[in-house]
Amino acid sequence: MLIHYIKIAARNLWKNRGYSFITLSGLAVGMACCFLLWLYVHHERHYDDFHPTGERLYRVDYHADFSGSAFVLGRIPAPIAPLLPDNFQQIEQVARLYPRSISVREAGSDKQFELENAMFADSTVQAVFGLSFLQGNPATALNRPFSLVLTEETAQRLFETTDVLGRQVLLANGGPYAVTGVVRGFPDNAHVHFDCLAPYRNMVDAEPPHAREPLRNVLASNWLASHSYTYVLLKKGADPERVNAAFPDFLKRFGDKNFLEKQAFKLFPVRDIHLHSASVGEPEPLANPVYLRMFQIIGLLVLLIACINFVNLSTATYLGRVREVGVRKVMGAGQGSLIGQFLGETLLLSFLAFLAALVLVQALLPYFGAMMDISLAYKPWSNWPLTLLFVGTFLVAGLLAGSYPAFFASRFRPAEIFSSKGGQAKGGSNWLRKTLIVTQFSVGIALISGTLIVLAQLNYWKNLPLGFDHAQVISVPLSSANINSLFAPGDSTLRARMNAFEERLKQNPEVGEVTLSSGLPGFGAARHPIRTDKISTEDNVFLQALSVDYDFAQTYRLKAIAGRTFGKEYGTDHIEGFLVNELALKILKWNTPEEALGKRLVRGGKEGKVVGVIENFHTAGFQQALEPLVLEVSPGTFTTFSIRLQSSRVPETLQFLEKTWAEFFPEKAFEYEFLDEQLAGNYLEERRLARLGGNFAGVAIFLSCFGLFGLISLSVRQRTKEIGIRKVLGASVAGLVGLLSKDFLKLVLVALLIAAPVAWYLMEQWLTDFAFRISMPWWVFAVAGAAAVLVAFATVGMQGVRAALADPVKSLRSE
Amino acid sequence: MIRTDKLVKIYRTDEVETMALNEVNVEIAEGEFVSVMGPSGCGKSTLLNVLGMIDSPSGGAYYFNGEEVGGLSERKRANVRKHNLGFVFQSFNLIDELTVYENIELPMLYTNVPSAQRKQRVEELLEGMNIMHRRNHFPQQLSGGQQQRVAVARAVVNKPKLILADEPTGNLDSANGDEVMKILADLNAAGTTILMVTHSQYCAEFGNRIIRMLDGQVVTENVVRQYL
Repeated sequence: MLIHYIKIAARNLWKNRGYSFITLSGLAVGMACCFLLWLYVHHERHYDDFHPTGERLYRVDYHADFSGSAFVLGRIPAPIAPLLPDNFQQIEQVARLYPRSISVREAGSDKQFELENAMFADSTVQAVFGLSFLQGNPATALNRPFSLVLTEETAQRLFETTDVLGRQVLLANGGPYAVTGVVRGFPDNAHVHFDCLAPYRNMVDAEPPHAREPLRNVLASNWLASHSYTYVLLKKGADPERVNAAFPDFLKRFGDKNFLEKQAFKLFPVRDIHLHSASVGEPEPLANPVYLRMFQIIGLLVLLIACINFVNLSTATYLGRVREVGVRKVMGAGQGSLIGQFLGETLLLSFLAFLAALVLVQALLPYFGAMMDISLAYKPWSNWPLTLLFVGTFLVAGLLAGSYPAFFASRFRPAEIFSSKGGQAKGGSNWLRKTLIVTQFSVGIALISGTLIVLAQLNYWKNLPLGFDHAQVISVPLSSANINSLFAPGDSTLRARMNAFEERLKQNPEVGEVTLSSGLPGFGAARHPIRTDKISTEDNVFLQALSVDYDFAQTYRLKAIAGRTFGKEYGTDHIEGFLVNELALKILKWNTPEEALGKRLVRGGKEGKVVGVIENFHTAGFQQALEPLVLEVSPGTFTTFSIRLQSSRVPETLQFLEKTWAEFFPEKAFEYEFLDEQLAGNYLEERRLARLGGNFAGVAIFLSCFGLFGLISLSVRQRTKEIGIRKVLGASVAGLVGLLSKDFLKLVLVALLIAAPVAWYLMEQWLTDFAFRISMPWWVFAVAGAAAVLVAFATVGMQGVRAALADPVKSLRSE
Repeated sequence: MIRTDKLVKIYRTDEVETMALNEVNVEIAEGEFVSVMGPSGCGKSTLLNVLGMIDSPSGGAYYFNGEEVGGLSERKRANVRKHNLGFVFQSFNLIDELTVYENIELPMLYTNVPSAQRKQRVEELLEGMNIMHRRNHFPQQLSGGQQQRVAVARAVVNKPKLILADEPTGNLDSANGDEVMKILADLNAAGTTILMVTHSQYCAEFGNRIIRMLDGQVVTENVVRQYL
């Protein structure tokens, strides 16, 4: 019997191959989309699962509460870690990681490049993380000073081979370091990554000589600075809460008595960092759990749409098999065996769709990964929990989608089938299929509207003036990303080199303005406590402060509305000059810009006076409101050059810059980025959402049309006689197409009425988070609705025209 | 074998009620070949459907082999049907996706006949109906006469006690029609009871008895010849 069922299923699939194809491909596309999104969500939800020490692995987080503003930091002061194993019996091992970018080259080679994630680590890092060594001795690799462990990728990049034990490498012109191991880098879903590991104590040697002693002091005795990521491996069965509870006593014993009330340290599970950490200064961007939930729901909705299609298309196909059902019933088939047969067929079809979906997933993964900015991989066997989820989804979807058509088909009554009505069968419950179509289109329209709103918001941001001129500006980091430089006194030769570099650049007519600053406009700035004659320390006023060179305002075309901008010619600006923006006036209790001029201002330990008030500009992405800002000239804190390129001969100018850079700053590889592109990075998450929403809205509408196609076919089949009679009585093709289309277009309109308010509400919630946002554009719903109506009409019209052009004699004769 | 007592069948739509069978009393003995005639809409096919247990009566009683079956559930009716009845339709009603062999085999799948026996029985019938060479063809590849022979083979494959034939020659030319009628007559001669609905007086006379119907009622019964 089973063979019989498989045979007839296969023959029917082949006979209705057009329908079978769209039924199968619709479900396959729906499943593939859903699986891709779930893969992504699974990837995000299983960060740091790969560590063999996973369950026992924690990071020590720093809960700080200074001046009433509480925050959590991912790094803790360096002196804590070495004391932990002896003072907490629950702790098995501790390892510190200090990340920085660093210029690297093989000893004796000129080829220098920047490693983004060089990690200075305690030798216990192997025990804590369980690294996977490809070469070298895991137990001793980092024991000796100036040893170096590389990842496969870094070894390839440096030496073009991984067989590199014993090779010599220079880090920031220091060393040489001997390669003692090659390891597998952490996979994509790790909260932290490294390119190489060097002994923690050698961190000092990577600094310029004048900075080494202060850094040694920081590492040995600074109990305040948030410095190194510190990971602990608990003993088996140890309770992290007991460690947390014992920390206050530990601090009383070893910590700085001045900070006892203001500091707390707590263990945070490494596996939870990516989704749930609230720490400032995470090594890599975290996931937004709200977006993950959204993606999961979108995946389910697309699958739902695909299942609805499947129901509509299968039902339409089964309508052509009423006679078979009649014959089987007459032969004695019970309803159960018929349901079994048809459910088996739909399951077979959905199984084929499932296989096609798996192939699609593999084919689309690289593109999807590129869209989501991650590298995703799916191996069905090694990724078996996910495979089980997919198989479960297929079974549930197959059973749900197959049940209705199977019950529908098994309910045909032979007496009616064989009566004079000859093979016509009722279409089953119309309201159900209408509801399904409305659901499909509602989802599609909501997704289109949502995407259009995200795009409108992005477009609004794109055209919004930032308040500074960023065209053709490149940023060049002066030093590697390294917070240790904060502890170093100013390098006396550096300022001279910076000035000489600037002068050299200005001799080239292709280079416009050049300036230096502690940060770039548009990327926020650290907040500092501010005092004036009217604001005391107790008022706890913290404002963003940026250290800039004299020509910063000129480079970025910032205008003074009172007083002046900085100028070398005044001689004292670097000692006591401050600029504030308009927004700062209100907080600092000055009524007019003019009133602020000459007023005393203290930023941290620096005291001076306001020399000018500038127009507001955006110090962060448009998601955030404009903020009060203080500018000062502190050359020691400069980190980045901003260079405006004049000409269209950009490649040649960049070559010139690189050459000149190597002359003045040989210890640091030349890196640059266009500020425009960097600023666009502020909207990465929103862009990703738009891309994802757009693609999935397209899929949703495309799939909905498949379903609609099935439904209109069903309707045409049910109304063959009516169409024939109307034609005989003189109905036109247009009239008939209108007749057939009308009902479906009504459904799409109902879907619009449902989708619009839902999308409105959800997107309003999304927009609420932004300081600079569009007001809800009503046209979005009109466009989404019109698009849905148009696509639906094209689908319905095509089938309608075919039915209307059919010879009426045929339809009437078949009666 | 069959006896009805004031059998009633009413079709209801939202506003219209049509009485298709109006207190019909029919009796058919085992081994009979009974033809039912009458104009279109007189209730012949309805009677056949009710007696074939693919439709249930609205009133009255229907006894099959002495057992009241009018009130049986669909499941029980299906069970009686598959063991006792065979059907032949005007439009053959073969399943297009099954071969000749598979169409004939189908009823035996529902009565759980073992595979070897099924093969033997189907081949026997293919031989008997002279369509062995067509065993692997699909219905669309056959002539009308061949299709109806396949349909008859399918109807008798489970050796039913009663064959119900609804205008079995309606879609055939006279030569093929004759051939089918001869097969039915042979089956009857071999002991199978046959109830046939037809418009053709010629075909009806292959039977022992003709029941004539009008407006849902039996109007006359003529004995064509005594069955042996």
